[in-house]
Amino acid sequence: MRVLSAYDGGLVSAEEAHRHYTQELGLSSVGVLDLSVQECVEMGIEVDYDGLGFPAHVSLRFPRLSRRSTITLARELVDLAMARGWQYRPAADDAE
Amino acid sequence: MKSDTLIAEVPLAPRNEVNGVADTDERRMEISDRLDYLATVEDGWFEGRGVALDRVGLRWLDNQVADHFVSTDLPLPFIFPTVPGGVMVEWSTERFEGAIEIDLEARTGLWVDVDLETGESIDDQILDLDSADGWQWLIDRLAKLIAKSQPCLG
Repeated sequence: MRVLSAYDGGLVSAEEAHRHYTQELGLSSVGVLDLSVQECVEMGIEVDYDGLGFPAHVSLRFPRLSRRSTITLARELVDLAMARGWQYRPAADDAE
Repeated sequence: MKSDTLIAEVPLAPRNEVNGVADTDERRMEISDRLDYLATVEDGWFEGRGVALDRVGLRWLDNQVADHFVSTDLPLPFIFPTVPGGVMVEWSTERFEGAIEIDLEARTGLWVDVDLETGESIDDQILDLDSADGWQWLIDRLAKLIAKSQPCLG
């Protein structure tokens, strides 16, 4: 099963999420996108506000599909988010 | 009430996508650094279930990549751990998505790709990554897909 981690946009801003992801979790990110819960649900992706590790954590559980279909679905989700544009991007020198 | 908007981080693209194609040493270091990070992943890393990756297997993969991949002009991929303790390696352009799930114990890879314009795909092609033939198939396939598209995400 493919699971994507996200943040609850009602609890943290895009910039706060980025700071948490890069500074507290020590992970690398080029920026932040918005995902719509409605779009996820319509795609059959389960949205679980599980607070795993930190209160704003949300798990997006993809349906059990073939690997090909999972890849296509993930790409569709990214394309919808990209169409809305970046919600936060760090200055070039700060990208990590 | 839960928010109807979620926020997702986009992993930093491999260096060759940011600053142009890096040289062979830089490409090797980029991948080795990522595999070194994967070696630090501990049992239970994913909701208590994720399996730590075998360090001998990761060294094997690092050597294979050095021998067969870094000297090509193909884009560097995104590299992630998988829950069963394998490695997922992904390439993404405007035109196609391709991924290989590597079994560090069996030393094989399961390749899938999708042409997003035509819907054509190869699904579950098993590659022997302990052999030059397996890597050559992967390199030829990637080169063919990339020739049809412009790099976008990875």
